[in-house]
Order: sequence, then structure tokens, then C-alpha cells
Amino acid sequence: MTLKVVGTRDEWLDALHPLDRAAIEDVLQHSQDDVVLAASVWVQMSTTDNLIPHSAGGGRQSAARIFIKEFHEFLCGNDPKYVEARSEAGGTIHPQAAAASALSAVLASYIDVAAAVIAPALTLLLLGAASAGKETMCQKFADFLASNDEPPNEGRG
Amino acid sequence: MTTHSNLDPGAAIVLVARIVDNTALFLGTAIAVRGNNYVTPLHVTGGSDENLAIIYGPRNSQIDYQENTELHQGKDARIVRADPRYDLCLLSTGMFPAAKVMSFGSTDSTPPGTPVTVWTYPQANWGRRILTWHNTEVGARVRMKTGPFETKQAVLNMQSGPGQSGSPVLHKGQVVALLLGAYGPGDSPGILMNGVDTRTLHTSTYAISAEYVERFLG
Repeated sequence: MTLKVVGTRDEWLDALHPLDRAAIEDVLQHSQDDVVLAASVWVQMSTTDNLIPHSAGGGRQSAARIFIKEFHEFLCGNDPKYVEARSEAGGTIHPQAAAASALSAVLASYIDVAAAVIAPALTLLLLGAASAGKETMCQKFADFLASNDEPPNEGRG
Repeated sequence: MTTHSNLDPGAAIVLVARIVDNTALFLGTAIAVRGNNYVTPLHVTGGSDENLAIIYGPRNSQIDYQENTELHQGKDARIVRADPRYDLCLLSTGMFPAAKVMSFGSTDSTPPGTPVTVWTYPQANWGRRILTWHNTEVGARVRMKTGPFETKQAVLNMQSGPGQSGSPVLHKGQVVALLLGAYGPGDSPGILMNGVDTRTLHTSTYAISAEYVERFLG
């Protein structure tokens, strides 16, 4: 099923909790309005480990990459594990909290990050797909994944 | 929590654990807050709420001896919100905490030399649940950068270890900071000895100003 994402930037951001909106917009601003970069920064910063938190190199280095990879599979690929999620979207994803929440829950199950943690980042990617167009975003995801090589052991360490 | 003398601290200061093979592995500390949720550093959870639980603190620890052999009753917890800029997340068990912190202060009121109290669970990573009162002082205040984001933090003159992240730091009865952990260089690999990273064997413990908790709660 071919998916389409619709909605304006404000409509998507309005779907978030107001404090989450303020936080993710701050991250977006610090990422030069690059939604893919901002989403990856959000997930990466959210998945540091529980030892020496100030360590610059701490955390699950690949969590952001896995997140982008899974969303890329969902939106642009044909991985059968997302057939049901695509079907439930009904062909068009509208800017509603329920849509982002449901999709966050699906992706969370594959990347071992809580749905509530990735929801703001996911909203940015949906916003990007709605504003720049799906094909443009799919290319951006592919570029991101190509420039962030897969580590030897993806997943939780 | 207004003063340490009029509150049963174990009612508001709890442990965050992950349940593995029916055993609670303590990850860190959380504080009950308004809205009937718990706040803890996001890094305590690693961003995942799989098999996450809140383990209640010991009751009446101010007037009675604590039992360290009792079974730890816990409740499943899930992450309801997170803000990685401040390394904070909000946990919910769906239950009402017996006590909670209604408002938070700031390290703005604790210049170097200020005496502070840390309520914490030392050796929590070894399964200990002994709520302990540490007196120390603020050694410095710093602006720490995590990526492009800057936060105000206090450096406490004490050693800390895994499981103590999230412990409240009090001054004049108000929570002014949340303990984050020991500073360690990220560019060199640590050596683990009995679960303790040798890079943390020093007395510089960092705590984030509680004003960010106030902002996070809205």
C-alpha cells in the first residue's frame, strides 16, 4: 500500500503535548531546521546508558540510526512487518495525535525505545514527509543511513 | 517535601528497576511529583520502559530501622514523557504516590560552599535499598553542555555510583537538584570492577538544577 502523509507543520506540532512541542522545536532549531538530523539527535540523546552520563561517547550509538532505518522501512520500503501498520493508516496519515502515537508504538517495539520517547521525533519525520513530500524524505533517509554506517552490533549493548 | 523532618522520605523517593527473570535490577532513583508521576533522569531508563518498575522506598526510615531483607514490592512503570535536553523523563505506575514533591528549587540558591543533603540509595546496583542521608556541600556550579544544549549543574563533593542517579539534593528543605552521576571522560574506555567503573572513583558528583524539573513538569 502506498502511503501519503498530509498536514501542515503547525498541525503536526499541535498534535504533541505543548511541552513536548516546545522541546522538539528547540532541538529542530539547533539542527538548522533539518528534521532528520533533529529526530536523530532526539533519539540519540534519549538513549544514553546509565553509567557516567556525562560521557560524551556514552549511550546506544546506533539507536538513532535504527530509528531512522525503521521509519524508512515503514514509509518507503515494503518490509512485511509494517503491512498492518500501513493498512491501519488507510493510505493517508493525517496530523493527529492518535496517528503519531499508534505509529510510535509500532516502531518502539522494533527499536527498544519507549513510544513516548520517540513520539516527538517521529512527529518531525511525519511533518517532513508532509511538507517536503514522501520521495524527497525517502531520499533524505537513504542519505542519512548511507552516511551513518551500520555498526557491527546494532541494538542494545 | 518541605523539610526532611516532616516527611517520610521513603514515600516520595523510590527506586527505578528493570525486572529480569523475576529479579528487580535497580537502575536509579525517582521522585514522586505533582500529577501523580515520578521523575527520574532519562539515562536511568536508557529510553526504554520494557519491564520497568517502580520499587517503593522503606517507610518510617526516620524513626525505625530499615529492613534490607524484605521483598521489594513494585509496580510496573511506563515512560509518559521525556526531554533529552535535560536528561529527564516522567514515569507513571497508574497509582497515587503516598507523598510527592510539589515544587522544585534551583542551584541558583546554592553557591559553592553551600551545605546540601542528598537522600540516596547507595549500592543500589548491588540490590541494596537503604535510603541514606548524605551531607555534603556544593563544590562548584557549572554550565554543562550535552550536544548543543546547556544546563546548570552543581558539582557535589561526594562520590557516587550507579543507581544513585535521580537522588534529590536538598537545601533548606527544598529539592534544588537531581543527582546525575560522576563525571567521566568519554574518550577513554572504563574498567569495570565489581560493577563500578574505575573512572567514577572520585568525589566530583554532578547534579542538574531542579529548575529543569519544574520546566519539564510545566
